[in-house]
Amino acid sequence: MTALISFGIYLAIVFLLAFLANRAGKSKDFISEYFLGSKNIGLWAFAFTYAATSASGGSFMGFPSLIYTHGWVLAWWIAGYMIVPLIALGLLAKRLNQVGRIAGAITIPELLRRRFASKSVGNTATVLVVFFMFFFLMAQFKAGAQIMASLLEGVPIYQTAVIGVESITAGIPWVGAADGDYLLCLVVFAISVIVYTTFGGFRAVVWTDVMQGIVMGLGVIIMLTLALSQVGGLANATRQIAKMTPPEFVTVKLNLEDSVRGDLRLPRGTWLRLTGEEGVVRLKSAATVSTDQVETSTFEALRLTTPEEIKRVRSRVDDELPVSAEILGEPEVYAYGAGEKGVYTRAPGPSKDSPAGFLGVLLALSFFAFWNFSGAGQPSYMVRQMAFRDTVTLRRSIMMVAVYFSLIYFPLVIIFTSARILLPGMEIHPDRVMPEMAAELTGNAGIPWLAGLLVAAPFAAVMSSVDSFLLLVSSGVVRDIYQESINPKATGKQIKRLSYIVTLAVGFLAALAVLHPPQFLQHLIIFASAGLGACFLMPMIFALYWPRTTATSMVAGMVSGGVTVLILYLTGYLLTGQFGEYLLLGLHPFIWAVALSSSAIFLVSRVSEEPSEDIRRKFFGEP
Amino acid sequence: MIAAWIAFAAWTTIYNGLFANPGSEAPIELLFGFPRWVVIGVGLPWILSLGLTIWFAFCFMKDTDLDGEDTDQISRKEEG
Repeated sequence: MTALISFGIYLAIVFLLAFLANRAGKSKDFISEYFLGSKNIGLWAFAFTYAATSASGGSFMGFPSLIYTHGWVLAWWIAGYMIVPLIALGLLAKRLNQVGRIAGAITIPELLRRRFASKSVGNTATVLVVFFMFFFLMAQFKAGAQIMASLLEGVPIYQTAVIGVESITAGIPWVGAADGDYLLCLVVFAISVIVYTTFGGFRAVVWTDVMQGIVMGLGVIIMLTLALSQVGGLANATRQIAKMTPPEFVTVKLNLEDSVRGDLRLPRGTWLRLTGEEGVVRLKSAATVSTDQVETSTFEALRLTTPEEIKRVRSRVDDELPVSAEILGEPEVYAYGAGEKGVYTRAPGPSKDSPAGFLGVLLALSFFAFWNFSGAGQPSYMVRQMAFRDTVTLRRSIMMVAVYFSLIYFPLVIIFTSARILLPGMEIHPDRVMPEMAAELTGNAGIPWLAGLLVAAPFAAVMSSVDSFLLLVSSGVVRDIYQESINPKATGKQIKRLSYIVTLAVGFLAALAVLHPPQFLQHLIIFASAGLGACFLMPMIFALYWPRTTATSMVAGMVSGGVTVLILYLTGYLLTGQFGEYLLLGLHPFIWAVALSSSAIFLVSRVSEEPSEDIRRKFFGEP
Repeated sequence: MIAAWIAFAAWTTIYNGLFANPGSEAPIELLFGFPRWVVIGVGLPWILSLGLTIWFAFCFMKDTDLDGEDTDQISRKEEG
């Protein structure tokens, strides 16, 4: 409950900032202020809004889940971030800001449209931004809802509300099939973030990003300290992890003791003894079993395989629980790493699905490129690069973002490899490892109120990303479609009202779409990042630096990049039946998409009509 | 910038490709509590990359006029 209060205080401050931002922007031009903070963002605000938008729910929910599941190899997976600030900001920021000012653009599609004096370039960019950004929004909404669900799990009034929600939504198609706790938290999260983004606009987003960036940094440092002290130091933790072997997935039936009468309800994650043998299993979902159906009911569960872990967990199992589990059939084992000690401390890391392991050498190289170049190509980062005040701000921000990323990403690997020791069996629901770890660390340390602040860190990451993405999508619709193509003479009042309505509508649709999300959050995020990076990285580089680039080649470059990612993900889905990429020759789809996009722009520019002299003079100063 | 990216990508990929998987029978080698390959294949280039980024931001990158205003004046305003 104390954690809930500190979390509530955090949320109250976020809303206060939105209110103040709304007041601060009242005297300025609505469109420029609402979507770009009047292009006057200073050092701290620019550095933190950039870093906080980048460190999204993926960094604080999806990334920890992958670290927990695959071990130390995630240090290699994320290694590309060592040079992201230099590449992502150094490569584009100055020229992008300059061209944005020359063009008088507020959004990325608008910048491209004015740079090429072509509506088709702007419209293609808008459609691609809205499409891929929607997947980002879905991922962040899922993360936000899961954090809230973990935080509220033990609160009685919340449990009552969950039962109420489940009974109300039971008969509603699509909605009723979602878990009650997830649904309730999704609604609360969606309403809060949509309201403050709609109300405050870009300035509110930037101000809250500063606060959220600080909260994230503090949260990671505190968690690192607590985690290392509770696992007996890093060396001890690494040695213990080196002894671990991956779990197995089993089907069990429950054996009830004679004392049980009627129904027995077991929450998700309950640990159970195995009947007649040493060992423990953990239920993957909640189970209700009655004495008359006990022989026919079966449940999915996870079985630990490391003797030291089994011994530790046995002490946690409630001996009073009048039930034990019996394994039926053969267990499902990891495709790579089953029974192998040391698999969590070396490459390629264990994998449930891939016989080659989690991270091969070529895939690691792909990710080293992906984090840098896909990051540089994200419209949500690009739009921030159009908003900084001057190059002094940019130079100092590059340094601040570099230090910040170093303090966030590497410690996260330490914290969540340690989570394997403190929280065994989280493979049943890996995306919840971050909030569970926050609760575990603070509970063990006797400071449960701090869990609120620690959980606020990933929540801050999610909110700071959702607000940015929401604004980006709504700016695409309002500025690039409505004002440019439908009603160029729209009044300020009409634009303002439509901006609010679109932000609300997009948020609502994203929440509805994510009622049944894929298991791993990070898959959605990587898909959206790859798609956006593939669509915009090379087109933007060519647009900024090569005067010969033509409007036709821009459309060809954006479409070929986006379609390549889509095709390779669709192929992955058709081959495995799961949402995931197809690694053609071991390389990530992003690499192929960038190669195709660059080739398309270069070749089509060569064969299409040269840009007009006016455009070359305006953007490149050519005589 | 691209040369720096190539250098760091080559470092992490080649070193980790060779040493991050010593085989399931090999005992774990620790350095400062981390698996050894993490320190040399990720931590060390990360520190060097941070140094390079700071050098780039403060010694290499030049201030530029973004929209007609004199950037020297901007710098003076910022610092003064």
